[in-house]
Amino acid sequence: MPTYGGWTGKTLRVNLTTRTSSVEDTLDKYKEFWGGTGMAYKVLWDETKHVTDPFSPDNPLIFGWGPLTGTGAPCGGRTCISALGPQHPHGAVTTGHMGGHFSAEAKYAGWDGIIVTGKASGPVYIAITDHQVEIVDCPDLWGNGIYRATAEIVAAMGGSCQVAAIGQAGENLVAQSVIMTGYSHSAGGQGAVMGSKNLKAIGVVGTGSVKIAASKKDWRTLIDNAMQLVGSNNQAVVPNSPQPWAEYVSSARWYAKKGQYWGAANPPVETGTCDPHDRQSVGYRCFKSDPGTFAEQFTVRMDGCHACPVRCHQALNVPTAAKYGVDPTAANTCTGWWGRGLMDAAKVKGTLTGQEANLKALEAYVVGKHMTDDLGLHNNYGTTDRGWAFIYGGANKGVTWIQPNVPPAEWTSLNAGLFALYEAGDLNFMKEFGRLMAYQVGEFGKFMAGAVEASLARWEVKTPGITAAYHADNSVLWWANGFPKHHSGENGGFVGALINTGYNRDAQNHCWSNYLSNGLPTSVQRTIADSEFAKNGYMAGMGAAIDPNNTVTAVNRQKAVAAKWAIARKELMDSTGLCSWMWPWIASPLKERGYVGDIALESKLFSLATGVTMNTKQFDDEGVKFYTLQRALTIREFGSMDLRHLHDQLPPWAILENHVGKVAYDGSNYYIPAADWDTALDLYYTELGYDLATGAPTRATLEAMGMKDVADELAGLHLLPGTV
Amino acid sequence: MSQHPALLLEIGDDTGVDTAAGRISRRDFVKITSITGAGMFAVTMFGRVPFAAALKTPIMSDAKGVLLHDISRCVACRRCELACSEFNDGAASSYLARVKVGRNFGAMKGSPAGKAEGRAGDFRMQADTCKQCPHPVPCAEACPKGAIRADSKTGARKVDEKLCIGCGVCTKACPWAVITVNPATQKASKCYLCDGSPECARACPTGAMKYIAWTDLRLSTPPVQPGIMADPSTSSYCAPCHS
Ligand code: SF4
Ligand code: SF4
Ligand code: SF4
Repeated sequence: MPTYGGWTGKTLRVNLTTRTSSVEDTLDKYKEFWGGTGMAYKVLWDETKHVTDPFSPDNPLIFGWGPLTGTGAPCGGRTCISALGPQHPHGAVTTGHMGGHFSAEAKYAGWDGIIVTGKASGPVYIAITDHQVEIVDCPDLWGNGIYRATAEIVAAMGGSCQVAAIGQAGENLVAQSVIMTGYSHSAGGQGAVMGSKNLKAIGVVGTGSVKIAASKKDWRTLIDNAMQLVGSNNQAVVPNSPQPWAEYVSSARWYAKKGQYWGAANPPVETGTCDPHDRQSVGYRCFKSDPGTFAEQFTVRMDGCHACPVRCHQALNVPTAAKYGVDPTAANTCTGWWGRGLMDAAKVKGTLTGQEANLKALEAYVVGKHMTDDLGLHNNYGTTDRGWAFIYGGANKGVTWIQPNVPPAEWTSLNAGLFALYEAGDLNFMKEFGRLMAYQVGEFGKFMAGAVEASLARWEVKTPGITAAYHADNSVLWWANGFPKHHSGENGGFVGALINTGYNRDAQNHCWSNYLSNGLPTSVQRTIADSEFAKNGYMAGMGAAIDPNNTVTAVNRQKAVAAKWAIARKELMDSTGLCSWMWPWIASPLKERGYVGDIALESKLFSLATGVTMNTKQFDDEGVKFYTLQRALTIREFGSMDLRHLHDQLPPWAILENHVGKVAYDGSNYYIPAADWDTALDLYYTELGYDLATGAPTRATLEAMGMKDVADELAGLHLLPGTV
Repeated sequence: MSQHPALLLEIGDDTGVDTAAGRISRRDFVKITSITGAGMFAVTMFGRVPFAAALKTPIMSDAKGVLLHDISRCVACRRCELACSEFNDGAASSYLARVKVGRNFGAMKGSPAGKAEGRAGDFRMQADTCKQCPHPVPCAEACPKGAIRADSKTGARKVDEKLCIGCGVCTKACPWAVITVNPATQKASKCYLCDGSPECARACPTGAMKYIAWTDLRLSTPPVQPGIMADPSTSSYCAPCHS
């Protein structure tokens, strides 16, 4: 029996109905699927044959990570939470991702994953200390926010405890809800699944270790190598301002510079020039201040996930925010600060000017963050705040879409309460909005809380046309089959658009968009892509896959190959434990290397950590396998193999023909001609070994991947190409 | 840096130890110590002083260097813990790491333990490190086998794995609780400054962890547990020097 590193060898299964836990042998059951989403797809494939309702006790909620989780592989602190998803119109499989330190702690406790099934008879949390697993009744925590639940569980379990919890939103089965760890890392979409199981939280303490299969020396050399090639957030490799060491300047997320401080550090800390060769300044590079440079003086430090040197979360201390009844300290990143996006910036500012206006805008970040993160609400990459903007309609003040759908008393109360706060630019608006949404108060609360397609369908009765209007509105970022866009056509034209059709929610896939936004000139990006991909067994000329952001040119085979590669890599990140917001590293910040990175790094990390040796191509093929199982699951959940027409279509606003006067491929837009989308799908399915007519994996493809059982089951359901 | 000329009982220094009975090899000294547990001798800078305590370790001179952790620079990434455990033990583990960050996460805000000055309240994140304590060295004093010695090169208080029996007394003795016993090897896992090239400091992406010339950091960092320390006024072990 070979011995492996990376895996602990044990997967925890907890049945809340019977209040029992059991141990599965990871290598026996899941080795072919590694962990994270790979493992989750396997569990879901095996166990959800007859499950259609995401809130069924039989819907397994899978907390997944992988063999690199807990190790020093940089940027390896992610947790994937998969289940049949309540946000999806068909309840199809979705995965939410959170960072933090939860998965590393769980790994140290000895677990390669946690599968939760069943439903507890009352509120419980799962307390895991190494191999000791306890189901703890917690009626007193139910109804409390995530902060309180986290604090009390930490107090009970000890300072090294990491907690993943839901807030009132998850408890109340709000589809747009999260599971959160570390007060700022949230996995969207599955909070309500956890709530449906009466599971408030999981607390974990681990005193074990993750073995590295390779020698200490080889592992150290590889980690050193990775640390030389790491960039800044999203693997940006070019600074945002001129630096003494830098050849280029860009708008990429590498903000450090001389004279710029974490101003609320005591004493303040200068981020500095951050020469890429200086290992002790990697953590200063990013300093992504989402609220703007004004917020720098309120920054205590940067924060982030386990083992990540880059730190994309900003930890703020804004004392004046306390007047809204919230903690003045708050950390988050990107859309994690979404609460303030519910408010109109001009109204927030009101008559204030200068620093006073800046300060109030910053307070909005803090209040918004606490509202969403304590209640456990999900903004679903812009869906919630933009959805609100759509139904309220600015000057329309909800007359068109809201008024007809809510009872008169609710309309009056909304006007006197929520809308009045909004119009006054009062930050308490966010707290009131959160209350209505998290508790599903009234028709308005239910609309915001629900899965978007379901909410639109309900309001379609009294306001016919709302669905079409919503889908046609580019500003609500709505994709064709029920989820927001997230690095779609605007990041890579056909490649981004193909990636965005791949999943049952936004793709959560940054493999390609990171590269396009890394700050290097397009010509350099193309040169590097040409060499890096060819060196690793891919077709020549992969630079031809690259379209600069916000543009598109005609589709070619390279673009289909790039989309397939990015899809595979997203699954590989999710199944090994690495961060898709950072990996892979096609480029590096090192001028002496011609900015070349190394797309083989992940396979090297996997090989040395586990002892299962793989080259890049073999590694990537595993990712395609995991994705293909997700595809099979989606087909089963749709009850149709024709994903080409039911799933993989562009939203109306992304199609060129819907934009009068726009010219194809002229560099001014990224709209795609309808006929060329068909060509793109043909090329893409060909690369994946999927049937061209339906976009479903063929028997030959499934069998070549070792999934004959999947092919047989799909054939039995008449969902395999060639079966009728 | 103070040096006690004849007193260094060092790992890696097999040239011998001066005792009242004359110079004996370190290996022999160790053997006698662990076998007899009594009747040993210590030497002070004032001369040779015999005493009859269960002496394991006489006075140690100060270490040459120490880790200094800066809570205003630390970004809580735990790469120091990982470097320490992976490059020393071949396995990633917070528990084995000789620098402790992960266990202070729970003191983050929102926790009843939070908001304490100097620890993790308001996001300031403390890594607990070994202070390479000056004499009397709590962990070394507590060890029933005298297994914690000053390393000949760095002066780091280092566990001699040949002597360590994994009893864990040192883990309770250290006021900063930075020693753990590795369950696989049954040996104490204690900072030894990586023989002068600390992996944790090298891995730290912000320079929050630094290796500096030894200075006494005990008073500038609040202890995390009471620790165990013999009282010099009553301990027969201490009496020869402190009476
Ligand atoms: S008592 Fe603790 S801090 Fe002092 S030397 Fe021993 S391990 Fe280090
Ligand atoms: S100096 Fe070496 S042994 Fe000590 S904490 Fe750092 S890495 Fe660990
Ligand atoms: S490596 Fe440095 S920044 Fe990271 S936790 Fe350790 S001391 Fe803090």
